[in-house]
Amino acid sequence: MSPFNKNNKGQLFSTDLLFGSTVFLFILSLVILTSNQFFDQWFLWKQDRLRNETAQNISNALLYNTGQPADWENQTDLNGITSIGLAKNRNELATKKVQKIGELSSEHYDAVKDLLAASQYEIHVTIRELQSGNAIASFGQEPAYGKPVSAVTRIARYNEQTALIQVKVSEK
Amino acid sequence: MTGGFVVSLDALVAATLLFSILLVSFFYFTHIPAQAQNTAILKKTASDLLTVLEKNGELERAVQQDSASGIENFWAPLSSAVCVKIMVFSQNDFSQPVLSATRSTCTENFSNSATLNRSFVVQNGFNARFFVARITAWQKG
Repeated sequence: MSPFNKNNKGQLFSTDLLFGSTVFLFILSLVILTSNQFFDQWFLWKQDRLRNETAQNISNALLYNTGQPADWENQTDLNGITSIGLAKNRNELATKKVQKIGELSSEHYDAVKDLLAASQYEIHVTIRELQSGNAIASFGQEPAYGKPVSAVTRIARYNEQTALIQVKVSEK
Repeated sequence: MTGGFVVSLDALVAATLLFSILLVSFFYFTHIPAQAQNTAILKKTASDLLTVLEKNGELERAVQQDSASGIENFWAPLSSAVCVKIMVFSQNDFSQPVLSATRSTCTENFSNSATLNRSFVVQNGFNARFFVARITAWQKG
């Protein structure tokens, strides 16, 4: 018997195929939707984590390190400065370094961010007196409205007082 | 005649497996490192407090005056989300603290905390006594 017999039933659009295709498309769309949601969440989480880490790293750099060279605050420009730190000892900030970073960040904000390894973010640092809450010094750029922000608050000594150092890192 | 199934039982099992892997990895990536990050933050807070208390001379003063009121005043302006307890032990006796203080708004009810110890010296004329300050920080639940 010829395989091309006109009486043979066509199989292409059978009920099985239609049912199978429907289930397949349903599962495929479910997989795509869930994967999208997963990767969106994962991306947000990763973005958040990297920003938090940057805020932590900046606070560590400012509170624990003197910078490189250690007397970078005496330099007239940023040439030769490889890292910035505000500490004269651990958790003790040097007044002159705080003043200098304020000047530098108002003139060379991007370069200061580079030295703090935060070039892809906006940074803002405020030093407040612990007891009164009054701001003693600040530098950087306040986060834009609605942008995700990571904030880290640390405790240190500044000018013979106890101070809170708040580092805010925000998306550009 | 045998029906041709595009989606077989194998595919359903594979899809279930894929969902499970996605869910488990999402939980792992978000939940576990977040807890590790919280612990790291608590450690930093405890370390900052201990360092500044030592540099301010509050620890030494508290032992000399046998009172933790200076320490309590020191941490009073901190954010209420931060809970701290400090215990000071004499170098020879870790069974009973010579003084102890907990932030007034906090109860010791935590699942995640960070504890640090630091030794310090209390000078009294030519006499030097060694003490250990133990600080525990946690977030208010």
